[in-house]
Amino acid sequence: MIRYTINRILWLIPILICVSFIIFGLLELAPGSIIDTMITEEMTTEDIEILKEKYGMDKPMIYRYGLYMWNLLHGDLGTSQVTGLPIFEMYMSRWPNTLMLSLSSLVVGVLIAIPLGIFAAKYAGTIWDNLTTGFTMLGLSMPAFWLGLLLLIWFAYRIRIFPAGYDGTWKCFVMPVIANGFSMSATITRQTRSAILEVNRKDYLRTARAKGVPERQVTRKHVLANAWIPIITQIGLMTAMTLAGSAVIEAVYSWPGVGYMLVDAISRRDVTMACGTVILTATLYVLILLVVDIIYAVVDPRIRAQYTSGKRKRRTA
Amino acid sequence: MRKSKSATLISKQYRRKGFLIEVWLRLRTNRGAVFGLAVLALFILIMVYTFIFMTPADVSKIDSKSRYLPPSSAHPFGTDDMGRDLFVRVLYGTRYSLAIAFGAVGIGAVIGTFFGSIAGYYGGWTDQIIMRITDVLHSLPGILLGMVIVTILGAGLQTLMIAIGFTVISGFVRMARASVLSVKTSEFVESARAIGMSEFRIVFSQVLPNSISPLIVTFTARMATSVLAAAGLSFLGFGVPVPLPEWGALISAGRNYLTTAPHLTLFPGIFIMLMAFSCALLGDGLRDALDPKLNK
Repeated sequence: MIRYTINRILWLIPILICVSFIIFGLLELAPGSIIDTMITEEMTTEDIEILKEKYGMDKPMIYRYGLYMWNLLHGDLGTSQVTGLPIFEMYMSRWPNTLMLSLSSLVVGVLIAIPLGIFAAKYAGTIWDNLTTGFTMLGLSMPAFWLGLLLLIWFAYRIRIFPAGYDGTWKCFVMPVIANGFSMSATITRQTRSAILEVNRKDYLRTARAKGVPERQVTRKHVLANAWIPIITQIGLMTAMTLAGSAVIEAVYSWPGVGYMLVDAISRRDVTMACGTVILTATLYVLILLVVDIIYAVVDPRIRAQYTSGKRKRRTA
Repeated sequence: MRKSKSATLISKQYRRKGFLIEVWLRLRTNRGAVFGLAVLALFILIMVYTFIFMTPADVSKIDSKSRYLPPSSAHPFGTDDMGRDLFVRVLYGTRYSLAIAFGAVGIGAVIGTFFGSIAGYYGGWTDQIIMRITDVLHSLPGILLGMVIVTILGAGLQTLMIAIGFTVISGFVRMARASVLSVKTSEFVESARAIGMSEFRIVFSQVLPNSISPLIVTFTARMATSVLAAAGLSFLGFGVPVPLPEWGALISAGRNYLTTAPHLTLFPGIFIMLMAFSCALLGDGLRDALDPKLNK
């Protein structure tokens, strides 16, 4: 188990280097560098050279990338081109807002989804199952930002019971959590239902029922114990995805989170800010995926066994 | 050599009808899938209609006398802040979502399947290199990658398609690799090798057609999520640029009039939802039809 974890963590390093390099390199290609925005007509070529030197633009890209990463390791991502504020600190101050929103929608989503999924699987093929399927399909195909806007129209402008933006109270969480949680709960419900149905077909369940294990115990000990694994994976994946993709819902509610910060930075052509935000968000995304993988190995002995038995992976000849 | 009547009947009943026909016969019994297919067909018809009968001028016809009109018989979806008819604009916008659903996912699927099947078939270092690159791609959150790509290349339909196509590649690589691995040891591959078929041809004429089912399912599932992702990117301003009536962009434009003209937000959203809904239903139906074992 420890070996597996170390293996995974070490594997993270090249991934993170590649990811940050790709983003840094791509944004480097973006039209309009820092220098271009500062050049005025009166400037001589010498002035421009001095400016370039000041921002390190006279050095090759790979050097700047190295410097950037070195500073990043020390918690310094430079300052925003537009506001001049330190990016790392800004990100860290806004990050809790995104985390709170994502986690609360996740908790609500899971609390609805798992009972619903079990329920649908139990009554598979009946009208209840079909109703649940209809609900989940609706959740899967409804754009979260659209649902968010419809909720705004009704609950913020017509009935006026919830605030339209962030105000720090529990009330401002209600609409974003619904908008965000609906599609999440739909995905998890589907995963729960199909995982249970999948396990239900297994021979060991027939054995358990045949030898007279009470149904309640079959569900708890045999079905759920095995169905957990794909469900947990799905939940982990959803966590990573909402944290990374919070931009849309944050834009709807002007939520002071990191997603909105990124959209704002890009639309203002604040390249340093955009780069820092994307790299930090991508890092967090990868870290969550890592945690999911480790949890996956904890709950599934089969995965663990692949690493403890010495051979890394069995080859299919 | 005379065949008895019953033998003919049996052979008729059990004759292999061909892969596609069999899948279609099973798909036909699934009401959801048929509905999804019908709606998609309708969208394609709408697109063809707008290509033939509508010009960009019709779509951006400004009428200052009829601004912010609620839905009526003259303007089924109402009008926007410049008096443009929303119904016409939404219909015209069908092409963008279809381009994403088929075009962008298609690009990603072709590239991903190509590399995935090569990785799966050849194994060894080819496999290692392709899969490590895929791991990196997979570690980039889709929406961020999309935003970055659009920022560099500039907003537009092609850029959006590239961005969305990029985000689906890794899924197809993994899927294709896994299914190629599962069939590459079968007898028909061995026999193809025995008759001297080239490796490259074996992959694309023997292995891939026999591992196509999961790819079709992934494709339709990705269509649904990509339509939503593209709409989200457009909503944020990273998609098809504003004067063009992409559905996400329409919602984004209607956002400033939530209290005065909520229909500007409502209708494009319904269309996005219908498109994603029908893709998802079709995907589910195809999954069941392609793998009858899962049905029970």
